[in-house]
Amino acid sequence: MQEQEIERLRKRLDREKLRRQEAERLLETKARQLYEVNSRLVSALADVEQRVQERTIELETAKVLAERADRAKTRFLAMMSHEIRTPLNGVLGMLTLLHDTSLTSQQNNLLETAQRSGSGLLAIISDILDFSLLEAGKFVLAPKRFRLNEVVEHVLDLSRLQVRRKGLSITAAIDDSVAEAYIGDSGRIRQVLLNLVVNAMKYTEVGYIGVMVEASERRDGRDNVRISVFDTGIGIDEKDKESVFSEFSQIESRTTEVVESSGLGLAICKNLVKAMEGTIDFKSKKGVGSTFEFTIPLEKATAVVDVPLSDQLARAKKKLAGQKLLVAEDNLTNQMVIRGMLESVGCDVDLANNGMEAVRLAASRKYSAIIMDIAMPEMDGERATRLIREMVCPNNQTPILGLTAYAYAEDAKRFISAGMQAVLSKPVSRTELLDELSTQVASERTGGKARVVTSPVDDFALDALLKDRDAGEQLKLLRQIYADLKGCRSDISSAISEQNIGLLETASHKLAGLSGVFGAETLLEEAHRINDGARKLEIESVWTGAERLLSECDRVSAALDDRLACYSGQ
Amino acid sequence: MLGMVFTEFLDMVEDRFPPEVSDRLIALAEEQFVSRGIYTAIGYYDHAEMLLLIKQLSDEVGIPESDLVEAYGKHLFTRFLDRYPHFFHDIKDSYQFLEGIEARIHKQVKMLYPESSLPTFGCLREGDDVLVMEYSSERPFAHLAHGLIKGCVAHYNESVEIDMQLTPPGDGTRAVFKLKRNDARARN
Repeated sequence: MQEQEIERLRKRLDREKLRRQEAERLLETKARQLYEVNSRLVSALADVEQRVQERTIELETAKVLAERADRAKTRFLAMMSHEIRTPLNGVLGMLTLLHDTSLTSQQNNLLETAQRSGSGLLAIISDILDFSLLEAGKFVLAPKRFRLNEVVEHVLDLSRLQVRRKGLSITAAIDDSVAEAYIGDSGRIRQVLLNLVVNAMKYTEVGYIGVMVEASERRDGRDNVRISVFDTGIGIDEKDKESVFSEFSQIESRTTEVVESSGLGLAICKNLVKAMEGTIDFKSKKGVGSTFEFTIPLEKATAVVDVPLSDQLARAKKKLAGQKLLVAEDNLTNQMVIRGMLESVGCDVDLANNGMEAVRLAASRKYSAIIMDIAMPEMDGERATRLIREMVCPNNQTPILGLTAYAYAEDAKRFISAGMQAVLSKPVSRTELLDELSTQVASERTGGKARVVTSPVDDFALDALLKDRDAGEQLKLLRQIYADLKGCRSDISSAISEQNIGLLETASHKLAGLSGVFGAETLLEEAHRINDGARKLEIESVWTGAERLLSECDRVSAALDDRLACYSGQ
Repeated sequence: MLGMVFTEFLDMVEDRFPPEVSDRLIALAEEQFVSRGIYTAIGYYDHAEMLLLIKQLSDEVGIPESDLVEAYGKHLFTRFLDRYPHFFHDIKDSYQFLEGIEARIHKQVKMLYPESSLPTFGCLREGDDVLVMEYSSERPFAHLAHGLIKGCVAHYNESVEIDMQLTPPGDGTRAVFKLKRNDARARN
């Protein structure tokens, strides 16, 4: 009985043992299956990750290529505009000069048509360029003081002819809330407004076009200026409303007139307004009309004093007449245009066909200003400017005005840092060029922009004076100049101690004449100024100026001393 | 240490020694071990418990520990054959099996027991008949390896001289086995 019991227990134990072993085996099998499933998942995950990575790389590459293509497109547009604007600059410039000649009325008519077409073409090219610049985010505003009512009137003037031709009328109302003058980029505001007005004209057959300007003060002290253009035109269909501000969109017009347009107008407006921190929107009802309006924040300014165009020219003439200018420009037509503009106010113009020639000329004679094209063969304007600023030459303080069809603002910055005082964009108008020149020449005369301390005596001028004489004569002449200078100095010194303004006048006059002979430029200018002041009895300022004149005399004497020392060694 | 080493050890003790011996081993385990002597093949347990069990058994039966462990190794090999027959598919002789421990067996063990730390067997053939194996482990079980190798050779019915040298530090964690085949017939 006991043995049976033991046997039974043993069997049970064996069964339990087997059961345990079987359970362990099962667990191992399950673990193995789990391991394998997990491995497959891991490798599937790795596969997916790899594919994601591959796609990411493909997309990145595509993006880089697309961006490169986009940059190439923008660059191409800028280049194109350069290529087209350069000859167009020539054409328009020549037409302006042609306008100044005596013409029959028929010729005048033909000329004006040519000018209009040329300007129209220029406007379209400018549109395309603006658009590409705005798209590339390279657009820079040029804010200055302006009168908003003048901008509006100008736009109305420009549109009036076409408005009348279509039998429409155009009016503008400027609310009292609008300040007399603001600070902003008036050219760009005019561009937006003109675009809106031209657009209104395009789609209006009967009725009128109105411009309304209002302003309200913002919390930051600036004004929110709202300019609305409304028309009684065909209006815009609901379905077209979304695409109004997108590029190359033109809705069907019933007008038979072909409107020259790039189809970029409103897209540019939108981007321009955005660049001016403003908003643009429209309301329209099919068959009733549309209202386009834009609002931009503008800083109020004190009123500007008007200067009539003829006065501006006269002033430029007064400042620039007789000035010696260097024009570096490789394009023959442009040479003629610029030279024509400058000679019309009596400037004396030297021409250089490239940067190298410009540098050579700048090294040999003193100019009042240099006008420098950027893209030139042999040496470009940027390099030439750098060289002129770096070498010891009579022109390393001379204002240099860059002239470029590269319309990028960042390029302009580079040219300024190369040593240019200002950069003008081609095609440049006569007023623009002369304005800038008179500013620069004036500021140079007061020495405000001097960057490099130069020798008080222009060695080139002195060399020119001495070159046809033998050494003995040279020495004699130099000693004479030296003695005369000392004489003038002592006269001025006595004038100061005696407070004798008459003596100061004669002595400074004599000194001016003397210093002009051997190229003591600064001395010449100072002497002129003192002479002027003495004649006008400007007793407050003239005596301190006279002290300065004495020290300049000493600088020049020292320079002449150095020169004379060269001879004593021979 | 893998649970199977424990379960197979206790099974062997039960099978080969009087019941009182295994009772005392279990009593010791119940009293002193963290595991309390309850092992499964699929768990991990402290190898110190194994060492104590071996020492206790040696004391009980008066056989040196190293001999006991070696004998156990031989037994364990037969258990491997039972439990994991697929490890032995297409294996023609002991050298082929031994040389494949790392690549075939340990790799699969790692799949099931990723936390296990297994000994390594660096194998080097010196001609057709001589195989040198370098045993290295975190635990002092060179004698167990010796038994396993013997079990393997026995399984393939070969005549191979197996020489074991413990190498520094001499505590059984490092050893070099030199196997030399006597039986030319086994070569093929």
